[in-house]
Amino acid sequence: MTSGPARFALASPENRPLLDVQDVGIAFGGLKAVNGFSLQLPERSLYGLIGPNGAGKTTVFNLLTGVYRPDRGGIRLARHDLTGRKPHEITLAGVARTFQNIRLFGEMSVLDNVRLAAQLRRSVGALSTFFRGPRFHRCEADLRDRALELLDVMELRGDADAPARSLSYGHQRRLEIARALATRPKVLLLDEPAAGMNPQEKQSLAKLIESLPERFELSVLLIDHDMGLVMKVCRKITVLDHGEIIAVGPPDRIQNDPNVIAAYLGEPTPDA
Amino acid sequence: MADFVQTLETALAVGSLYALIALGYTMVYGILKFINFAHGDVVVLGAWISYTVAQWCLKRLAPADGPPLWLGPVVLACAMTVCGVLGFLIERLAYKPLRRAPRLNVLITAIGVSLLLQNVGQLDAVFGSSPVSMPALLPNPALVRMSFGGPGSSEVVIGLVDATIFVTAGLLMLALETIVYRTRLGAAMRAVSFNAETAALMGINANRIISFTFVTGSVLAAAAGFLYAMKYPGLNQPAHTIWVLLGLKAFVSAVIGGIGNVRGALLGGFVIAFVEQFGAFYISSNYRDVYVFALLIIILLIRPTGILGTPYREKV
Amino acid sequence: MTAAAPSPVAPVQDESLLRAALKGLVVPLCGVAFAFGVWSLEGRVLDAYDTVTAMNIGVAMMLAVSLNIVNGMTGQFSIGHAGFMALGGYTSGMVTYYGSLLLWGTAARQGGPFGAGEWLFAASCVAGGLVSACAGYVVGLPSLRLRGDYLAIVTLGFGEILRVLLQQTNRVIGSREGLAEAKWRELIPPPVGGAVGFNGLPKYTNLFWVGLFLSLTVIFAVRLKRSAIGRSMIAIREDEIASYSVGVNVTRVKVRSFVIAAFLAGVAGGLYAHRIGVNIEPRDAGFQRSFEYIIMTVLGGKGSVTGSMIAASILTYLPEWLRDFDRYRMIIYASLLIAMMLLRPQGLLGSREIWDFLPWFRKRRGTAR
Repeated sequence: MTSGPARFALASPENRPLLDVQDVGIAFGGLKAVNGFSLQLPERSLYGLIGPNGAGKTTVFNLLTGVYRPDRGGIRLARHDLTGRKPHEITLAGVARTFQNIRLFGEMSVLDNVRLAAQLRRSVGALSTFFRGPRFHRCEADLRDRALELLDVMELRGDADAPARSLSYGHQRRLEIARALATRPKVLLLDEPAAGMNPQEKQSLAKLIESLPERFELSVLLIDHDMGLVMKVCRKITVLDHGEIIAVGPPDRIQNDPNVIAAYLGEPTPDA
Repeated sequence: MADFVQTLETALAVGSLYALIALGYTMVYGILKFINFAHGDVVVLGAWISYTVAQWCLKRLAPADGPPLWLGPVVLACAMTVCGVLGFLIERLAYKPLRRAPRLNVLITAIGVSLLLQNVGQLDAVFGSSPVSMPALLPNPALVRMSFGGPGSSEVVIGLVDATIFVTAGLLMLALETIVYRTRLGAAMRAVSFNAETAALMGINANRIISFTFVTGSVLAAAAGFLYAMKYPGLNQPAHTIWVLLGLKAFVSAVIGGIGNVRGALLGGFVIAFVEQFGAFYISSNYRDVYVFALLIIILLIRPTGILGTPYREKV
Repeated sequence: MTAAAPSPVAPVQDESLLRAALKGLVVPLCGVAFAFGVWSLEGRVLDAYDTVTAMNIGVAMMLAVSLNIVNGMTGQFSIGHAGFMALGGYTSGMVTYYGSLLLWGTAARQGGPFGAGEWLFAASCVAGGLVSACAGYVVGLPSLRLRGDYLAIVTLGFGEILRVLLQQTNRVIGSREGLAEAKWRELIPPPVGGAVGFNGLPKYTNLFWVGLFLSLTVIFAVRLKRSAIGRSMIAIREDEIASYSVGVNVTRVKVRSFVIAAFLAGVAGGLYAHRIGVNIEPRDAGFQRSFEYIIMTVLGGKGSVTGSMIAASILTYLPEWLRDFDRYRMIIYASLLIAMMLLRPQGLLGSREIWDFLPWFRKRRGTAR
């Protein structure tokens, strides 16, 4: 966290976005899953990405994190060009994500799930692993402390030693966020973090997401089907339908946008 | 030139055997997405049952002038029946309980079934652990003689046995092709292979389709075993490396052609047989297994899903 | 933030770091002591026959534990482990045999315990491990593009190719003069005995060396499992996509697991080749031998070091215990394999170690490590 915003701000002028996505597209066979997608994510912002089922939201995440290589367009994070990079390189550059269909390391303990993500920029060789010198122990202790800190934030510390698959659904979603945060991202992509949560859980999740940009000095890009959550949390929203952007703007404008309403309620047929 | 044509002829015969066995691997992989390691052992069983039945019949009949012509088809039918039943049982007992288990577990089970079949087959009470000689059920007159060059030069002979192999293998593959692509049952098979759950929702009894696939594969394997025993009458004991290699090469054929793809299995069978036979003849026969596995590794590195396979994208 | 939740974990201090680091050295030293311990049993508690059994068990344990790094921890499926073992064994055999010929003019044993010959042998085992590790790197590379069953087939192909190549090697050269006068046709392919196996190796393997290499292997495997590298391996086993999403370089970790496992298997191969009474043969590289080690790891539990050790000792000891066992050995192995998959697919110990079943130990490990 010491690679602070001050230094960062010097490197990138105010008007330059942290994450800059320009005209990205991908097709599967004949289907254009995402077409001409652009997005400018400022620093420490909360940004929403919504759209009906199958609109291509998760595909956008997969493009941003390198799971799919875009057919065209470019992705930049600050000064790094991320277009076509491998997923782990993109994570290293500072883009972390959660998954819509939770993907935790089920057999590993909750602590180890986070610790694994925290070890990203700290490597220990095989020999050091065998001899376990002071360096090894210091590194492991640091990782543990950092992981426990994040578990505290997510109120998961009590479960630190439990295997991840034994957690409840809501806790698993929170653990995914903790794990993503442990990679020290500059941009955090949350894919339906509120899915399957009850109203209370959703409320505390909303509070948590709102606190993330200041606390961890990052920007959040949020996908969710809970419009209440997205409208409440995000300052700006992009709406996707059939892989194309149909609206961009602050929540109150989006709520009243006729295109968006049509996309969600279905097109009124001419005869009707 | 004569050598070349002779090698070509052998490669075609061996290739059709590989293809016949590869079909079983590929059909099971297409539907259940795992390598049925035990398939190669069903082939062995087919060969040994053919031997046992033929031996028993010949002892009973004791024909004076060679075995009657009808004996071959009868032996083949027996081997196919027994192996079909066995294929059904293997699937029911070993694989069906693991329908929802990780693929690796099913693979390990398949290895277990394979080892079990080999070693039970080798017990004295079953087939015993010494090699035997398959009685010739067919006369092997030369059907075609081709000579290249002047008199005295070597000539190429295509015998009845090799011809039988082509014809039987060809007919069986044609039958399979018809079943898979021309019948309702085949449509159901392809549906289950595409997406078992959706197929089940459409009212297809996936378990029956899977059983049918195993039975069909095993029947083809039995035929391959019978034909193999006709061509190479010296039958080794069931756990002998040569059998394992036969199964592996057929499997490699399926992988090279694109596993899960019926036509790929044919293509792969012939490719493997050609590489093996020509490599053995023109380079060195000591390294024939090396050619096969080296080709496998090269093809997998260039096209991980095989020549005719479709690329697969994991859903995130 | 840390104060918010009461926790039994004390902040790590430099003093405890130093103690932990000391422990890092003490445990391997205990391994050396263990080696001396088992060695001292040789001839006293264990007769010649038991000694051979014990050595076989030790070597099998090393192979099962090392295979478990690839198959259990990383979740890949290698059916070529015997190939790595044989490669290490043949390499190590060449080093001791031809090294002895060149140094002393004879391949016979040189010196007593810890004499020159034994040190050459120990070095040869490490050399075998290194050569095997290089092969592990090459075989691991396809894991970049292949997953699951396909990778399994490639490893199987590796073992089979190696077996056939070993069968075509030249016969062993018996004397220094023979070696000096040998034409290149007798040296390439290397003179390691062809189909009959590598005869005439000095029989250096004893319980000390088995104990030493075994304990180092086990310590390494256990420490690997509880380290950054081990965590990334287990993560790949659990979910490859999630692994790279948290920045794990999946390819590198997979290749690394192959290299580590191959190295350890190669060292074990060195011990295997120099055992009393048996020669290393091309057959030892084949997949049937690989299956035996797979059965041990499956039986022990995925990623469980101690589980593999228990399974390896049971399966190696069974033949001594059951009369006529050899006849039914493969049938029993096969039935065990199927039964395990149907009834207890996670293996005897699952992914846990034997000490995880001790309550006080579990408490102590907890979040503290």
